[in-house]
Amino acid sequence: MTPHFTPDAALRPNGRVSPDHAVQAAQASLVLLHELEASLEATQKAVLARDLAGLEQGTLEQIRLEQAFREQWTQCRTRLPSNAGTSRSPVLLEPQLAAELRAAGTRVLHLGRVQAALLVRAQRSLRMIASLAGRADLGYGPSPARILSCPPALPATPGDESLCRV
Amino acid sequence: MSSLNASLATALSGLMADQGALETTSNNVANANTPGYSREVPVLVTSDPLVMGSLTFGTGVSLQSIESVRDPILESQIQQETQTQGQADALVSALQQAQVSFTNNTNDIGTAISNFFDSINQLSANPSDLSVRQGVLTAANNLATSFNQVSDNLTQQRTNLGLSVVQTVGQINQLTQQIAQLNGQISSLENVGQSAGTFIDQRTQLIDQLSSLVDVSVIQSDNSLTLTTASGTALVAGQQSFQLQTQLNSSGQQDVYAQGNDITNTIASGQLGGLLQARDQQIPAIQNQLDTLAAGIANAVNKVQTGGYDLNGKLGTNLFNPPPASGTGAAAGLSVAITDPSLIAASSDGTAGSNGNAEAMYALRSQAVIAGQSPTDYYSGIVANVGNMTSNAVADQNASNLVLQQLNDQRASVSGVSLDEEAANMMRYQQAYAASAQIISTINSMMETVVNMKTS
Repeated sequence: MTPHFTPDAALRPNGRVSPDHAVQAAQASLVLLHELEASLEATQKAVLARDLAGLEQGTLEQIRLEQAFREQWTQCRTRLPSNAGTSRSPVLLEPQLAAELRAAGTRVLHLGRVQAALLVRAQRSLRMIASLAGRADLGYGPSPARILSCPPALPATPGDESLCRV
Repeated sequence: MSSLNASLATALSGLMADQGALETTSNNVANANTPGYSREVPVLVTSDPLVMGSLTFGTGVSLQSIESVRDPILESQIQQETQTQGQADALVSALQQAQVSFTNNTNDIGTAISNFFDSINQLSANPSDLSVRQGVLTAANNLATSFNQVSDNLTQQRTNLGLSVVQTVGQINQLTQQIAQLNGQISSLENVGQSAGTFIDQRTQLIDQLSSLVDVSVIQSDNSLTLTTASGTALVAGQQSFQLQTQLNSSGQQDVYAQGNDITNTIASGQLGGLLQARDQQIPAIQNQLDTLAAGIANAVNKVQTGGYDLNGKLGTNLFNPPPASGTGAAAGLSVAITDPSLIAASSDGTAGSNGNAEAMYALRSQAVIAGQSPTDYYSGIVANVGNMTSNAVADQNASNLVLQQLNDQRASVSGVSLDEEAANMMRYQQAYAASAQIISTINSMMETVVNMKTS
């Protein structure tokens, strides 16, 4: 099983001195998080611009960074005592480094969420364009079948064009 | 054969057409900074030619129409994204407000749980000390008050969201009425072949506003426009608008009705969708979790308490008033059942010095007594859940803002006024106008020649 090391667990202060390699790992992770942040920002622009090549390149880069991040902590875990980095035996980092690491993690998490939301929108937009392109007479709205299945939509008054008859 | 008069008429048509085109340019420049204005272009067409024998003479130009430049797909995308943004705005606002109740402070539930178990820990060290026992009762009361307050805040928030629902429905009704009126004006103009660009711009702006409030689908037919909610409830059909109503339901919340039908659960996006989602899904989910936590703590503590002995050597009675069996309303109604500190069952054998039951009660702190989790962990889960919901809503809001900004930029590039382009057009029309005027002047001098030829 892959050792699980959460940055948050590493940041809990308990007065212990952090081992040097944990600090090095934290610094290296910070670099990776900054790279990930920049990559996510670039991908965000690619999604908005419908730049598929840019999106693919960014996604591959993010997969690479995520793997590098995982490996970083796995290596760190193998050098630390078995219970280090857990809530029972947290590793103490310099407050500034800890704060930077936490802030970078929060930013990456937020960017990841925004990226996911943008991808959902891009997908929706493409579906809409595809359906419009597929049928010239198809407007962007509920399908006629759906409208017909909702009798109370419009009161049928003589002479009026009823939506259900569209 | 063509006459000088015909040539004069042809040149005059050029003058008129260029004048009209120049007016369009002038209107575009004047509205360069008007929000929602779509630039207009003159549609110039060649007049029907005159056939005389084997010859065909052109008869000039006419300004057929003035058209507004719009991209309907782009408009649809903007409307849809505006709905999502409206929903996200309402959700973020509601969830951030809910999150305040879970912020770390001296009165929050997490602190109250810790203080309660800390007081029991002290009791286990001094089981017969009445002041320590009083401390346990105070901590239990504080814990109950924390639950009551957070639950009341959430209930109050739901009530406020209900009031916002009523307000939003009022705004929707106002907008649909205006759109229906504009539909009438647009139809009237288009039926007589006139341009209704200005009214269409106004209608587009109103539909954008409506989209931020409710999930709107736009169905455009030849000369009319129908608006429905995504689930097909009609809002506007041509010149007729259909009002939404609100009505209190059995649980005291405002439901939304359209022509007598409850459509509350069908409204998926827009501000109204966000308000309903927060009121009927997100906040009740938090309240349910709080109820589970309150009921779990009360039941677990009561179970231990009734299994021990109080300071008088009698079997313990409930410390907390038992929550409802379903758990619903447990947080709002949590209260301490005893006021006499000697009734706390710290003893496991009936002797005053025994602390066995107090220790058992303290052990609940780390026992999985609530849905497989300890009270503190379960509460942390609630806080994380609220934080997560808020973060997701904020991310959704950010994504909407980004997409809308981009779509609006695209709309500006399609429908917006480019002053450079308009300046070039102005020169073009001006030169064409001057050329037509020159032709008229030339024809005039030719006519003079003809007239003088007859008189001389």
